[in-house]
Amino acid sequence: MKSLVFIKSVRKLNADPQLDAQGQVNADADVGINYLDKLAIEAGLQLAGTDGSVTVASYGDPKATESTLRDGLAMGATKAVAITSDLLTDQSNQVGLGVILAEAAAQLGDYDVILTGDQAKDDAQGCVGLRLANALKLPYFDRVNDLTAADGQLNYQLLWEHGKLNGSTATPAVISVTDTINKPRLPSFKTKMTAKRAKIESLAVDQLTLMDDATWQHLNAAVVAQRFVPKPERPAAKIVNYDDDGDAAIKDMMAVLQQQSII
Amino acid sequence: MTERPIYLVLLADPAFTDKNLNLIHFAQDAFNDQPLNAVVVAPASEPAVTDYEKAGLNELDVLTYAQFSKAKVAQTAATISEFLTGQSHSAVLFGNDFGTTSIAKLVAAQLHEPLITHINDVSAVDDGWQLQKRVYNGNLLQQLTVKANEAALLTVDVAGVNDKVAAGKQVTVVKNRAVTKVATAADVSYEALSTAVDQLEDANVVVAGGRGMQGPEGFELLQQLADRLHGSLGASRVAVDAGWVGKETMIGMTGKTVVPDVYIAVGISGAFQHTIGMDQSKYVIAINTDPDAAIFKFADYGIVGDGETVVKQLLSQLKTPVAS
Amino acid sequence: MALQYTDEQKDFLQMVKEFGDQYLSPKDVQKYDQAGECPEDLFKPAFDMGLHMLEIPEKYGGAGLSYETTAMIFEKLASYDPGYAITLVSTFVALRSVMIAGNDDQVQRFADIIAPGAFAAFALSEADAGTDAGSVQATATRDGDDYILNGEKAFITNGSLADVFVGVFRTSDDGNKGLSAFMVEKSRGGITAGKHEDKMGLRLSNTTNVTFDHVRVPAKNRIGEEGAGLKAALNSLNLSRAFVATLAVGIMQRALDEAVKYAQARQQFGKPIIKFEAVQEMLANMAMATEASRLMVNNTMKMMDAGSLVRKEGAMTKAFVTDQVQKVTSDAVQIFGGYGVSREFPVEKLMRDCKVFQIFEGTNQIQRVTIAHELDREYRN
Repeated sequence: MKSLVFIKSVRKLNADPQLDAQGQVNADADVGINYLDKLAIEAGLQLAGTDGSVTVASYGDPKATESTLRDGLAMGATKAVAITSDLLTDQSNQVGLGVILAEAAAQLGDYDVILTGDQAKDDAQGCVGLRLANALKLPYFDRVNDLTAADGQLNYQLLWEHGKLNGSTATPAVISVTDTINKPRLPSFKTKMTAKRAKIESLAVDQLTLMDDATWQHLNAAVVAQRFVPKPERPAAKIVNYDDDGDAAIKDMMAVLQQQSII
Repeated sequence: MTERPIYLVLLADPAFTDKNLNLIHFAQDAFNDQPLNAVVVAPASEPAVTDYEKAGLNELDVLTYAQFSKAKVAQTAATISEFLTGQSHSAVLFGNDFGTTSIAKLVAAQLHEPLITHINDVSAVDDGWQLQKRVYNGNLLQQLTVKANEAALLTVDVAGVNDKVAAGKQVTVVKNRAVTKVATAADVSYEALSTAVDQLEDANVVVAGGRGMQGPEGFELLQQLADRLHGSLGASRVAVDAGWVGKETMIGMTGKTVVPDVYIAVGISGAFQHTIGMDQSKYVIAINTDPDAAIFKFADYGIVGDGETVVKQLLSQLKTPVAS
Repeated sequence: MALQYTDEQKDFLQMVKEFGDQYLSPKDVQKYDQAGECPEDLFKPAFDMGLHMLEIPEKYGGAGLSYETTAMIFEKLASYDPGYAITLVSTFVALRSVMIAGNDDQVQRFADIIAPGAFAAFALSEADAGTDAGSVQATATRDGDDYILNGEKAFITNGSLADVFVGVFRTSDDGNKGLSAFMVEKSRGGITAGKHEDKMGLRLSNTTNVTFDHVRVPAKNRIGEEGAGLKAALNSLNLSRAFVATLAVGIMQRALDEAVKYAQARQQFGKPIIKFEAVQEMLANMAMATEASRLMVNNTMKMMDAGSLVRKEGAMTKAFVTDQVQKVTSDAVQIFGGYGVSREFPVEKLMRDCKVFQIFEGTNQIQRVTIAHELDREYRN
């Protein structure tokens, strides 16, 4: 099976201060491949079998995109594509990102399944997959916990709080994977070396063909600004060593339970 | 502030009625005195109408068709999309549980409207609202500003909302709308994880265990403690994966989000996959043999020691009457 | 860490860290150490990652890394567990010895066996042939186009795991010149491993006697000429000496890490013990020994990358570093005080693990003989 996996590079939170004056994570922060996207690549590699392929594609800051794509190649992806586009004018507003990726997918073609991570760490959104599917008029499944191919169909399982949903879909389809679907493989040193030398293709999305202008405006109208703020500090815990004074620790716990009206 | 009404989407599901009432409460708080409309999707108008007609909503639209099921994700989404297409709307609020979120995503796609997930706070700003959500596994908050006169779909994290909407307020208009044209549903099977009504998400006390419990016996001990404190048993993914305890107890990224008054974490290292589901708890007690365990960063009170030993002593203490 | 790592080397070290954190957690390592063996399955991820073929050229299925970079990676891996690391080192050193002394066909056949994920072993020592390798008694008898191998090898790392061996056998009675090296596939039949040694340290590695009982190998498996076996063995020992030194640096770094963390956390007389001068001196000495050892290994590896045989440097590095590690690990135990000797804490294992480093790959006594011999030769010229 041929997979097209869209992956995202996310900035890592380093030591404080991690936010700039505009409320953005410092631009010089290290970047890495979004964790769930590694699971999407792994899912693709598992679906590939002996005659399939896995293409990784990413949009964003050119340097971060390149290193992220090489990470994908190091895991075993067969081809990497860096996507460029001027259509997302406000880089902090990513509402339309999935549509840009759909345009890229349409240009690339040649896939049986499009895979994404269920959400990216830096926005906890999970909306790229649905835009992709909608623009390409493909079925979409998120929170996919299990994925197997059989007779050209994909059998999937969605994980919800209280239950599991099982179904199957024709291909092509768009699938967003959740964190229990697999354990991503570590790259091998050999593939890592090959990935360093591999050619990264580039693909430009210059215009929208899958969505008319009015719809694009409608989609992008509402969200006008975005910034990060630090989470409220939790005061440092009082920590005691049980071996030093176990009775005092138990006494403290009893006091807490009483204080919180539990007992 | 806006001419366009705000909508709440409430999906009939006995396990989520309280969550829906939490959502109404959240919305009434967040949008101050804006009139709120709600659309309920249900197999029949009762008990939906009874559940929500005293919630002080402006308008209650009840969309009914017999074969409604949340598990028919695409069909439910199509029904909601069609309804919302016909209604001028500003913000549309959904619950944040996985099933409802899956449905909200498809609605956002069909309506070509932005979707912002996991909102936990809304405040009014000029011509719009500032939405807040947790990102970077709970290590940062993100604030997004949306215009009030444009459409945007939100899923709301009501885990931190403890109050249901006060009953006794009347709904202005109740419209029963039988849905006659229902989209075809994909053939899916839904397999419930546990039949019992789940208490964990609403528990005042959660006693949770992880790898440090070393086996199912450890969890029997934690269950005893949870019972004694009238709380619920929780677990990290490691313990669930090891089969020591049922999947319905899993707290964290792939499991449940809990916000109890007291969270007791025993033998849990504190990986973000777990802490994202518990770090809003009001008071956290952590017990772990490793003084460097990340869980202590999320704790108010920490004990460096063996979980089993500590819990055993606490249990024996709880058995003796408390001298006051 | 004193070395200036390239971005690529930093990437590799991060990969090893992820690997170690995932598969060699202190708890797991403690379990395997107590059991005295490492589950064979635990090496599958190492094979998948190619840790057994790092410095092997890409055309043979390796990653084509330099010795220098390979050593950095193995230092890091050894800080998780040196027994696990030496299992992999023994595998690629065996292949490398074929590359040094054998022909391309042999290298390719050998690499084809281990590349997909299999162990190799180097079989030289016997019960009565340790430091005195020239007294090997196992025999290879010519039979037409084949050789018949007989005899028992002792203390063989990977003895019961290996799918392919490099063995040294006697082809004539002519002392050192009567020894020849062979590549011996396990599949030839007649190879049995003896009891797994219940060792003091490196308990995650597999050490057994290996018996060759009428093992028939074709003449094309003979590595180099008849009679060149000891030379082939010594050449490969030059290489492995520097690599065992690298593992010892990993042990030292681990001992230092654990000791500093403990000294910061442990309070006596109202302050952390790292504030006491006697402890400070021990920690400073440990850090200096570790850095000096790391630099020495790094320089030897660079010389090897440049094609030097490092007869003297390999011996000096091995003897110096593996002597230093004794003191460093012993001091780590000392800093831990009573907890240091407890199996609940991580440092006593380091002391047990490092002892054999003074013994194997040529004892540190014989290394000094080699060093002096080389000095004598140098100063004569």
